[in-house]
Amino acid sequence: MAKIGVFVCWCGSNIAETVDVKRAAETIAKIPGVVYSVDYKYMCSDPGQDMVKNAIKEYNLTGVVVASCSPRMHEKTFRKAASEAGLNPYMLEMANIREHCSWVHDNKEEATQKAIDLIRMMVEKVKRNKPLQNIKIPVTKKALVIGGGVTGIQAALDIAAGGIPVILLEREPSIGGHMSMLDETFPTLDCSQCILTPKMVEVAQNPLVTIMTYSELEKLEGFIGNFKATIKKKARHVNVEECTGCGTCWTKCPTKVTSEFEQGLGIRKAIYIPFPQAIPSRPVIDEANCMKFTQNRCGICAKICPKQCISYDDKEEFIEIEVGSIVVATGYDLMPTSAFGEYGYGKYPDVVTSLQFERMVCASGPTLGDLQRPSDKKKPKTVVFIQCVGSRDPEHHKAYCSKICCMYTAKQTMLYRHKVHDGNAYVFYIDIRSNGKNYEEFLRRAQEENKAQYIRGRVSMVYQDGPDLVVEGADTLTNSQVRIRADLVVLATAMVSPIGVKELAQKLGIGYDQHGFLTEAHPKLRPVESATAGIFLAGCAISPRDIPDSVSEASGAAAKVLGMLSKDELEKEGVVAIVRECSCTGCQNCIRVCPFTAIALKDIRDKAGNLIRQVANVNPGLCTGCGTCTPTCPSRSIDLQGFTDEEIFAEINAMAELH
Amino acid sequence: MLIEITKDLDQLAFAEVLEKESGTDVKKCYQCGKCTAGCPANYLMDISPSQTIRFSQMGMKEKILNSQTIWNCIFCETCSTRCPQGVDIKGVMDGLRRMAIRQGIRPKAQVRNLEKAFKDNIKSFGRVYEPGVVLDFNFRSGNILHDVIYFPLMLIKRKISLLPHFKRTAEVKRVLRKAFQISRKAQEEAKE
Amino acid sequence: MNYAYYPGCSLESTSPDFNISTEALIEFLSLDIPEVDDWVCCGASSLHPEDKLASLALPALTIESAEKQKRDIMVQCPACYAHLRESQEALTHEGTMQDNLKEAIGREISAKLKIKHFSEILMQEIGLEALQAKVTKPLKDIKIANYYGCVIVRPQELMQYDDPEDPQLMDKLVNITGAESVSWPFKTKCCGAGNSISKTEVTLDMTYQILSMAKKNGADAISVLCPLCHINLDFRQPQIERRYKEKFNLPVFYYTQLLGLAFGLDPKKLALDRLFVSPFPLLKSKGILS
Repeated sequence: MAKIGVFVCWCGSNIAETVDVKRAAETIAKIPGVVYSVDYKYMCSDPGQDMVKNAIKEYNLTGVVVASCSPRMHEKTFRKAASEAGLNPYMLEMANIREHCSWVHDNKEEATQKAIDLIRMMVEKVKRNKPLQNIKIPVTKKALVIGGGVTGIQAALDIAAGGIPVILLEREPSIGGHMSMLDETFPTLDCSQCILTPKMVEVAQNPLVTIMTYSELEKLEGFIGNFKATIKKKARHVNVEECTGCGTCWTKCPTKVTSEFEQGLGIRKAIYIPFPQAIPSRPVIDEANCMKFTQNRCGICAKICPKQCISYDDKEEFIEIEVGSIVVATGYDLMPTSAFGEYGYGKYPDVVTSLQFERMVCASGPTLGDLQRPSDKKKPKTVVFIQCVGSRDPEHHKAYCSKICCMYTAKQTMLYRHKVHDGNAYVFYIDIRSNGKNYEEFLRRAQEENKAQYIRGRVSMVYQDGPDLVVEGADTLTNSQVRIRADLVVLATAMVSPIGVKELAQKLGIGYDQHGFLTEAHPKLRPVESATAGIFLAGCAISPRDIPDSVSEASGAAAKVLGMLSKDELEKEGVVAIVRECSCTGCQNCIRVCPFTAIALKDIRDKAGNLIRQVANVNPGLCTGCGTCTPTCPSRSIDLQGFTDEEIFAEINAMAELH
Repeated sequence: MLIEITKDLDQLAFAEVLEKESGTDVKKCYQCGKCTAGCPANYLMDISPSQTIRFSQMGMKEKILNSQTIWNCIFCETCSTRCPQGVDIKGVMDGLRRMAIRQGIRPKAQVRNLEKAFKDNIKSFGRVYEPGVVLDFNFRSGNILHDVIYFPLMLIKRKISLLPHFKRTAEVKRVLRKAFQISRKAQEEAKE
Repeated sequence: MNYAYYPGCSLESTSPDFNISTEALIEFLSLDIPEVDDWVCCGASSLHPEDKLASLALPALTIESAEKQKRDIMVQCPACYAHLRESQEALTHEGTMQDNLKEAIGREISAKLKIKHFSEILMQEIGLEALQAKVTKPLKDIKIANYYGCVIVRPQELMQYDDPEDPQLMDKLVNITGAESVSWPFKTKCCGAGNSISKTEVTLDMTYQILSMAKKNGADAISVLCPLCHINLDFRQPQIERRYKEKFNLPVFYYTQLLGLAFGLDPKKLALDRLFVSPFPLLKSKGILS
């Protein structure tokens, strides 16, 4: 026989003002099975919790209903109290008479009646509740970081600093990401390579970090603490262990290819390292351009390699690794510039992107830092920078602000003025967003000391007139049109999610938004977690952000990984689906609808080992207790513990009886 | 309106001349509008104070020198006091006015006539004799009776004296002449 | 304390009441403050929009005179105060302006002296307590709106008088008289002084706003420390009343007159009879004068 205790909370005046709590408690006391019913001003307070604990002991309660706020608010609190008093925590339920009742109603009589109904439903449910146990999951103490830019590097370093082995995965031939392409960084103007290279070396030398470049995630199975990742290692055609990076091969390679790293402004060979500081400093053969692959001739590199490291027959490899946790730091790309016809990118060689401009002024760039415009190699005397190219344009391109363009444009005007002291730098902007430490001050320096001239308005179009580019725009502050004759135009193009991120997210089972940016579990309070347990996010993979933010998030994600992997076992709530194998027909409806791929087929075999049939089987580690599966089962063989059909029907019946 | 920016044009040249004249760097202005917000004379201006600064940044010299704004500023300095960027807007107005006077621009506003009346009064007496200023101003502006109707009342209240005081007039005249000379010379040198 | 008094042209011509009440206080407090010998006009607002150098050269002459007397300068008119300060800045800081000043005047002026407003001297060198002790006729039940105007508080770096948005110095002086200084928002809103003669209607507009706000905040009278503000608020008050068809009847005192009254000085010695808006009905209704 059930012995239920009911505790009706006033929540100060939040509930008591609209619900007659005394009457509710008295009415509930009359329900069969209720042996104790009481009201109190603040149930969540220490004395309130003590009332629950004492009643459990005194009346040997088998179930408890706390009628107060939303379970999101205090379910944990009261279940912990119940557990301390010796009651299985899942035998305590909450009736939400605040958000669902007192806060949304005015009529005290009706609200009181509704509160009584809500409590009665929970009483009927709790009578049928079964004690549940939390689930314990073993943990693989190893992490995977996807993306080898500054964010991934930082995450890998911080995880390794906690003693956990890390695999750092990068699809390009070298780690370093976009930061390695930048000249100087705002707001300190320190050289990007100079601060990144030491980190790259540090991560390469860390014995706990395994760097896998030119590699991608092929497949991911498993669940929090127990992931199994399949990594595709693309064919490099160079034996990385034997190669010394001497450079003979790429010096002699006859095939010139436009360099991706130089943003199309320089060239590389078909066998190449992307940039001198690359890690690993081992070349890779670009099959699409190497004559050995396209025309089956040449083969010079193999002939001259002093260590015989080159093998044209290499095939891609698939490697399986087990990890307990994953950090996704896949970064960003710039929006393809073909989208902006009015700015003439691609048509006029002197219209470049901001990333190209970085290479043009960078000491390690194709001109070794001697600023020349692409068309005639002349030093540009007037440069127009255009902000919000593709950003903040929901009608044509992206609705969001790319966040860093204001600051890097200010920086680029400074870099420009440092190279061309008498040059004119004009910036077209709509608003200036400089909300970071020392950012506004930096921006003021660009305008006041470096004389960057800011014009508030968008550019209508850019066209070539003789050797000049003509930029037509507006200055809304003088309510004028502006026409500038310029030598070079720099576009601050929108940051977008890189190609392949959506596919990657699908493999990982994590969410992404309409722009392909990965979705946080909570934008404010869980900013570096994905909705899938054990998978964390950092940097521009989430949305555009600058280096300091990306690096902070990398450390944040690493802390989450370390916190998780510091335990030998993970514990999670017992509210998971369970299959009644005797009646399951193996129809796989539940498998198809499960958003977390937590259900799989299981073989049922006889004693001789012959397969009799297949049934659904829930992996409790992956199951989040969402309940999507239960209504799809035609034989009602899958049920959600803690929310079983019986329990739910009891609630509904309790309500139906009353009305 | 179209602003043409050619390559040989030094867009900031005017801002720099103005900085020399007024001691304030208009490049610092970020167009928040605080000056316009608090300007008691804004309603008399064809270009608001913040827009005046913007036009200066854009090198639109003729537009502002020919505006009525510079003649309607009453130098209350509310703008300069509140400017978050430390731009001395009053100083800019002052400077613009001096530039306009040197260019021979005549304002619609009567303020120049008053200033001239004051200056001549100081030159004549060494100290200002206010009834004299008012009379002189009235002659210059063509409104002979302006405020004069109040003279008898002022006399009754013993608020004005019948005669001016003369103090160091020769010296004052000499110093002023010399000062104007020096300024003119500096201007001519700057042009070279 | 070693000051010489620089009244300036306004106090000598259209604002004798300010001058008379100032001298009455000097006498009553037994202060040794003679007039600066042979002072000349500070250049008023007429010179700086035309020639910066000329506008700095005139006050320099007066500074020189005080220097010869070996005295610091005490000043009442805020405009004079500002021009003296500005000139002193130029005279004491090396640069083109200093050189040009020397050339224009024909002599070097060290300008190493203090320049102070009389209200600052009362506050800082005599002190509220000492002044309070001399009050014999407290101005009971009078609410005063203290109006500072522009120039005494702005620019703050130069004037260093008080907070430019909500100054308190005159409020504190007025409070010792027994009157109550009201808190109101237009203490330093411009009265349009510069336009008073050349664009009278503009000044009437701006002054009207100040009078209205003082009235709305319950003031019985206004206290000022600037002769030009006084002209606009007092002399032009009847014109404003006619223009806006609204009666204010707000007497406009110089702060020196209020102090003098509280010290028990004869209203004639304070030139109260020279105010355009007669203060006598108010003073009588409050029982301060019979």
